[in-house]
Amino acid sequence: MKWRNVIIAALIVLPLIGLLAMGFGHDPHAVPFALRDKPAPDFTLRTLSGGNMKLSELRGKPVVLNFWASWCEPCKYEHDMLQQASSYYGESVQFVGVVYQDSEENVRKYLQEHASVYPHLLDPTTAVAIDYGISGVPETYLVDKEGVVREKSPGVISSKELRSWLDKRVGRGS
Amino acid sequence: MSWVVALLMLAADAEPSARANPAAEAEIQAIGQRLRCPVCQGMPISESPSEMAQAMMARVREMKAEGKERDEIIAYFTQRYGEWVLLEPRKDGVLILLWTLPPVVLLVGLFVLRRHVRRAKPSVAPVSAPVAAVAADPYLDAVRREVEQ
Repeated sequence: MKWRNVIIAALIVLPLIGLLAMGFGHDPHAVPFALRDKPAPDFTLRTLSGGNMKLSELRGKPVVLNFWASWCEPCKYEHDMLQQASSYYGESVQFVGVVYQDSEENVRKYLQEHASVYPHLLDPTTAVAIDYGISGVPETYLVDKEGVVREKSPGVISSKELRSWLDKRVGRGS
Repeated sequence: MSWVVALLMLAADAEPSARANPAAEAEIQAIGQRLRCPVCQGMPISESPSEMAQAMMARVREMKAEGKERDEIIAYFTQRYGEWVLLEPRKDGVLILLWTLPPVVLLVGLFVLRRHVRRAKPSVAPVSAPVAAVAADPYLDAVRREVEQ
C-alpha cells in the first residue's frame, strides 16, 4: 500500500519537476530563433552612400547582418570588433549594417566619428527588422552563401562567437 | 527622425481607410491584441507604446490593406517570432494539452481526494466499537462489582 502511494506521488511529482526544470532552463523573455535554417527574407534597402542593396544579390558568400542604432550603447561595444572582423575576412564575407529605428542624420554623425568599412542600410519603417524577428538592438544574423539564415546572436556579439560562425564557412581558423 | 516620419506617414496612410471601415479597424485591433510586443513582452502590440509595437501594428494594417486574412497575418508573425509572439497559445496540435491538461489534472486530483476522504471515514467507527464492546464485557462487569463491594 505504501509503495503504491509512493509510485502515485512520484508519477505526479516527477513530471512537474521535469516541467519546472524545462521552464527554468531557458529565459522566458528570450525571443526564439524562428528563422533558423529558413530562407533569409529578401529586402532592398537604401545605403547611406546613396545606392540600393538587395540581399539576394549577395548570394555566393556568407552575409553578416548586424542590426544596430547610434543611440544603442551596447552596439558601440561591438562596432570596432565588427570592423576588424570585416577587414580580417575581406572579400570572403559580406558584412552589412542595418540601421534600426534611428535617423539618417544621427547615423551619419556616428559613422563620421567611428569609421566603418562596410555598408550600412536604412530601414525607415522597421519592416526588415520585423521580417527578421528583431526584438531590440544589437542583433546579428548570419545568412549563408545559399541565402539561408544559419545563426542569430541577440545582444552584443563576441569575436569568439563570430569566428565560430565564419571560420568553418570560409575555411579559416586553427 | 526619418524613420519616425516614415512610420507616421504609414500610419496616416492606413488611418483614413480604417476610420472609413470600423469593422476593418476592429479586426486590426483584434489581431494586435493577440500578438505580444517583443519589447514590452507582457503587452499586446495594440496597447504597447513601444516603437517596435507601433511598427508591428503598421505592418498588420499594411497586410490587412493587401487583403490578407487574420490567420495569414498571425502566421507571418509566428514565422518570424515563433509561437512566443502569441499571447494566447493556439488550441490545436500538442498545444491543446496546455488547455486540457490543467482541468483534467484538477478533476483527477479531486477524485483522488474524494476517494481518500471516503476511505478515511470508516476508520472512525472501529474506535467507538471497542468502547461498546468493553462496556459489555462480563469479566469487566465482575471486576467492577468486586471493587464496588
